[in-house]
Amino acid sequence: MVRWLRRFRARIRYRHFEGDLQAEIETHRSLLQDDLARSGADNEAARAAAARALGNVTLQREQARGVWLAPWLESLWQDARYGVRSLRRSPAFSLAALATLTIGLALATMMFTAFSVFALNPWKVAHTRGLAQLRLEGGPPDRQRGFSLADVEDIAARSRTVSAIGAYRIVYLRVTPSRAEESDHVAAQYVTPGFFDALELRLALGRNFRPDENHAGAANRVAIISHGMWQRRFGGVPDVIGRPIFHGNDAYTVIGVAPKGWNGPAPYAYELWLPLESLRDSRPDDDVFSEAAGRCCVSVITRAVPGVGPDRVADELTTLLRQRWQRPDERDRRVRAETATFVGGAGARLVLPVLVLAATLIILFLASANLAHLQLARSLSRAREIQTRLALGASRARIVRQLLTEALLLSLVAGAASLLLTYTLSGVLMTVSETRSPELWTPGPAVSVFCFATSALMSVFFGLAPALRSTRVSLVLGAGRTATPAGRLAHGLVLLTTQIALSLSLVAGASLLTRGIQHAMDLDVGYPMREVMVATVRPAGSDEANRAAAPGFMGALASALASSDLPPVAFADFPPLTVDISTRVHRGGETKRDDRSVSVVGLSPNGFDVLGIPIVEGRAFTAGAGEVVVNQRMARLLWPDSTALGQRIIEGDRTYTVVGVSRDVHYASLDRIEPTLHLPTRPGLYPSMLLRSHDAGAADRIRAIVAAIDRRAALSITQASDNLTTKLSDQRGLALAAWGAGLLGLVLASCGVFGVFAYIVEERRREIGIRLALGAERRQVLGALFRTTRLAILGGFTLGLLLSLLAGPLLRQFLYGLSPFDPTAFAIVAIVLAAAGFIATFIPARRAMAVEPMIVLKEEG
Amino acid sequence: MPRSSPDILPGTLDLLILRVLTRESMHGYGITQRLKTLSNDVLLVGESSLYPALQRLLLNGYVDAEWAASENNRKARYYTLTKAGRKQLASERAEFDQLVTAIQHVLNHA
Repeated sequence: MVRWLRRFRARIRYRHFEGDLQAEIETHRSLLQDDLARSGADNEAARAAAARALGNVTLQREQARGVWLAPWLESLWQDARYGVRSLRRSPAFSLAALATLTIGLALATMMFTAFSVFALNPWKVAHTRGLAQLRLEGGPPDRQRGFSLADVEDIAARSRTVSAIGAYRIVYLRVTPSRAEESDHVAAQYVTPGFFDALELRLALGRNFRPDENHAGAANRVAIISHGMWQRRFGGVPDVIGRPIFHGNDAYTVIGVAPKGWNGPAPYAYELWLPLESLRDSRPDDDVFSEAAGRCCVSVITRAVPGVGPDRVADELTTLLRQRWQRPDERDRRVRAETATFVGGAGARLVLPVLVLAATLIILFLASANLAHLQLARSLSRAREIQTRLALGASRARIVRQLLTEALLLSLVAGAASLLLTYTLSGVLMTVSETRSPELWTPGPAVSVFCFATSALMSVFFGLAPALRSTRVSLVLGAGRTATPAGRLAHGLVLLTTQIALSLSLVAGASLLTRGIQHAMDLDVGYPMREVMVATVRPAGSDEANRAAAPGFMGALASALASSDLPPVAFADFPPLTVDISTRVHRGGETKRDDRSVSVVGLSPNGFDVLGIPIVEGRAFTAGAGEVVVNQRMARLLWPDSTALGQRIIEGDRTYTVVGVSRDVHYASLDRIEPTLHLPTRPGLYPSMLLRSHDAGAADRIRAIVAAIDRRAALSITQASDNLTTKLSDQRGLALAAWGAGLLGLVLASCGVFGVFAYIVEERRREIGIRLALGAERRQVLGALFRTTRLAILGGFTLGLLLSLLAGPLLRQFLYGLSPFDPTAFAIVAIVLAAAGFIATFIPARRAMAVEPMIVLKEEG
Repeated sequence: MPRSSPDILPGTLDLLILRVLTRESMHGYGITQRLKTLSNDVLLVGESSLYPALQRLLLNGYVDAEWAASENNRKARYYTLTKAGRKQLASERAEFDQLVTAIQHVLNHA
């Protein structure tokens, strides 16, 4: 330790240290000379003899110094400083290389971060040992292959290796702690009581579900909320247990709060847990409630009895379930118990990591290839320097090391930059992946190690080949400047083609998505939706009280509205573009087996008038008469050959008569128009008020009216078009991601074009000079240069265009009727690419143009 | 050119320098001269071994160095034995004696 301090001090006071050594050896020499002179030699002879005796003074100093400072370390330091200087001498190269590296590394680092979040992180539970996610494999390729609730019950009853078993299903819900407030869109898990048992999770407050609460139609509906939701929506009040939380008009009683920072086992941030059976109330037909063994749809986790490994659990459960699998071809199936990592939970056990890895490798490979080109171009222009050093006696290894040090320097700086970038963008990653656990996304030690190790590896990858090539020993000074083997360039051109094609199709996708959003914003939904104001009442009382009070409230509201000077007000079970609710119906004369799924919209009879949805045939329904209106699509679907009017429709045990056909409009969803059944609003609920108004005054009057009837009721008033914006936010995220990836790819491709071009220009400097000297015009020379890369660029464009035309239709559901071959979108692509191409070729082309024939010819002399 | 004699056992030079310095502070040239005289011109230590050895001793903290005027008024760097140096000398000397005895024993009785 002390020795290292001394060493360090010597390094810091390097000049002083060096001076001491030099002076000391000089003293030694003069003392020796004195002695020699004393013994009779004359002054000159003594000086010469002393110098001879001493030999190579510099070498001796080096050796003495070597005791203190490891020579290799010193020369590394020298290399680094030399590298910094030479990088600073060519800022364009350095910047391009840094940009390429940083982008490549940042992408790789982010992907690795994502990979580590999903694949490497164990579930957030105290003990992961014994916790497993069950999966079925083998057997016939069923569309449905998974566990049903019956399987779960069977395992719970009979298994000896499993101490707790839980099933869950993920659903997105809008919930709010009080009807006065806006509701949150949250991810919820419907779970069996065994879920928390299997996780061995200790709740921060309250208790787990009891088995008797896991029932459909339970009188007291219960919920467990996340710590975050408790803090955010309940202000963290200590008596949150027992308070209600609302999903639509249903109230749930909070019975527990999850521990702080715990949002479910996976990185997706779940905020709410509900008993699985209560899903029957809202979705009685959900797949979850199908009975077939081994052919369903709940995710299952188990906690093994202590000391029992996952394989034994899997074996036992396979045996148990085989007794229930009826089809003979199901006998080959097996249960697998997989460790509780996020990937295991997400269900894409191998696909995701492999995809991530492949994408990362491709990006890194492309970036490295780009850099190798840049390096090669640069080493050509440094050929003179390198050959001079070789001629002066530097060993080839020494110069290769020097060049590699430069490469390493670049990639380490890029590594640090990309780590910083990843850190900054971790918020974006979190949003894109719908996970809200910042601590997961902040690059930790593993990610940092990955980043720097990759950057070091990359420096070898892109630095070694050019370094070896440029130091190939040649006898004639400057003879390194020979033509490149065509193969190397051709291979670069193939890379370039791929890069251009890929980034073009990404940009095209992004452009299409953006246009799709724009198109959707302007989309004609079929009625003047943008003029519609939505007012939703949330009464304050308990569920039952509210249900009882609803008719009175609605009656008072309707008459107050009618006597006000407001424009006509309609009621709807839910406002336009919020949710798409479906039901199953069959025609009169058919049976339940012929049920088909249709969308259902609850409206008051005047709704068609108020919203401006035209009735093309018949009339609007009247309330309470069992009448319905269907849209054109449904009429065509059910009665293609006759009129829909007067036909009967059966939903469950209710029979309706069709009295009207309405025009197809986008009411529930934006991307398509489903066959839709319009029903009168259901009594006992608090439907939303819809009116054609933009007027803040109208909103105030509605507030006054509602307050006059029920002072405690809360009211939220929005424009229907706000829902459109919310609906499109997902697509916006997708478009943003595509733009990001596309532009990054484009930058990489541009760097590639730049590199290849720079290489060609540098390599053909002499030729350019001679041509110019012989009277060629600069324009012609440029043309000759472009010819080399023309094939690659044109090929890349064609391939990219082809790819994007093929991929366009895949995006159709995000385009809202916009053509996947939208000319505007492709015009944007053309502009972006032209700009990138111009930038990538401009600098090297300018450099080629700056070639002075006289200088080149002199260099040759 | 005087070279460090190959007969000096590895590591012995440090020991010799430490021993020479026990009597008084000396500069590099003085040390070579003293070694030469004491060994009856057998041990000719070259600069290329001397100075790395001195640096090694400095690094290990066995000697201190400071600049002072030499006998004929030249500025020279004088090396002084430190406490750690004395301790090191004692232990190295014991080891060396042991080694020499062992070698002698082998040579005499083999």
